[in-house]
Amino acid sequence: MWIEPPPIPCRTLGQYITLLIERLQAQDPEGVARIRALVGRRGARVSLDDESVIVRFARARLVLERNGPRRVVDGEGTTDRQTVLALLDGYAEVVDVLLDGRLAVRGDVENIARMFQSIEVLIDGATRVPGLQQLARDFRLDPCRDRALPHPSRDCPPRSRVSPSDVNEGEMALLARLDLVP
Amino acid sequence: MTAGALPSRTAFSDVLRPPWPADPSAAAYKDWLHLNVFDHATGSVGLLNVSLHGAPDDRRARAAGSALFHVPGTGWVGSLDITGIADARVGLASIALERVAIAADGSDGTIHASVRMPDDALRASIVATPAGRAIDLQRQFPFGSGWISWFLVPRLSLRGQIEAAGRSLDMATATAYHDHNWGRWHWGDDLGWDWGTFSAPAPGPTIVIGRTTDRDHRTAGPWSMVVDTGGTRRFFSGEAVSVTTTGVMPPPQRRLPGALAALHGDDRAPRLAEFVRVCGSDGIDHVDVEFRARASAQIITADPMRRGFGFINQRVGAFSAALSIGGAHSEASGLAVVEFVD
Repeated sequence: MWIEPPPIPCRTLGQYITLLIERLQAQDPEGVARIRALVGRRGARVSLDDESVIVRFARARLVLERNGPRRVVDGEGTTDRQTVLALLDGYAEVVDVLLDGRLAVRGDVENIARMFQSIEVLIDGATRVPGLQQLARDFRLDPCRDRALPHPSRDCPPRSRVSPSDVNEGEMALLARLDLVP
Repeated sequence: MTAGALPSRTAFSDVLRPPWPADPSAAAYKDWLHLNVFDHATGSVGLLNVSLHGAPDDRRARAAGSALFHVPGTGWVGSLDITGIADARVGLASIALERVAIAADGSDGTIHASVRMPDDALRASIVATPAGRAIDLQRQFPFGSGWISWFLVPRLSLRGQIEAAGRSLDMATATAYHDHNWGRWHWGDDLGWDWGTFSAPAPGPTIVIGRTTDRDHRTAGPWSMVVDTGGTRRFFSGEAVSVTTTGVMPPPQRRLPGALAALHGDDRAPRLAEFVRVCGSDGIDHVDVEFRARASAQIITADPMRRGFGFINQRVGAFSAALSIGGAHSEASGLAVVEFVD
């Protein structure tokens, strides 16, 4: 009584990003409008493993630009496929991967806030757009990408807990890296 | 009575309840089939669920399927799938997604479940056979902006194969619980529920509790409690049931789907009690249950028709119980699932 999945194509990072916005636009144009309002003319470098693209909106359309070391961007997000899969499958929390460096975000505070808000709009829209949920499945099964690695045994709660009286080593390392430890 | 003779007439007639055409409340449609598996040999507890959300002819409507097993010493294995309803296979009493499917066989009341999640260390192909009568609550209980109804089979035996975290579970001594809920509400409404099922190895009892609440659980309907010993069944409700909780669980080890967990970072540490004590007493029969949770997982449900979210917090663990039913005293212990939904 299983559903047999249709063939999954190989896609590049740029193709996934383009499809994310196109499918959101098709069923939740207000969501895309909110993202455009959030990012304005800003550009961001998105890196996944050894792929990098620069994304920005121009004339209300998403534009992908070839990455280059001299390209000036307003923010950067860098991660790897296994981290994305761990997040999608609930094996890791955003706080965890930020603290241990598996997800790195660079930019000034305002631009980082706009990047995260844009991602929130995208995820929120995904709950009402089956095509986006399908895209997550395609990414997991992409035949040109590595399969998900087995997840380590984890019978304990997520290690990072944000509490004023419970600052752990990862949080302290992050604060030290940002020169914020008094 | 033999197991084959046990299903009541209602067990044969339970089917999904999709809205009629032009039903003005169709957007709030919900329907799900649920199966809990208790492997008493290893202490593993399984949560299998397939569900439909939203008007079936609306392109936003979704089907979801989750299969999670908590394996002592390993943790949670399994995962969750979400797809458009049009991409799921929905039958009279079945919902099938790519990686998880549940079907109720109307001819004999059996529940069939399949899971294929090798990347998440879980495979299953099982058949649950009723080992007691079904309870059919056709009444539409007020729930959020709408209502909910409930069909349940507290006691089932199991056959088939389950491979979780690299080990095969022993179906010979495993027990199961099945329910089917349907109704009209939107996730994000001012709603919640408390529910739990406590399952001892056969021929021990199964105990089920439940009540609907508002979102912060300050306004609640009366508790209902059913104690099924196989041959005997007792109901307790309202003032005859008391539930007390103590202790606080650490945050859930798994939250699914991960994208919604990322969206709701503020809800990653719900205040879940570690100990739950349930007492049912009507002056004649008495049941006293003590449950201790050992792990929790959080399923986040998003309403596809309008913005709103629900949080289904599942605790698994062990229980012990003292029962005095019909003048017979007994003790029992086993495995349990206790939910807190807000």
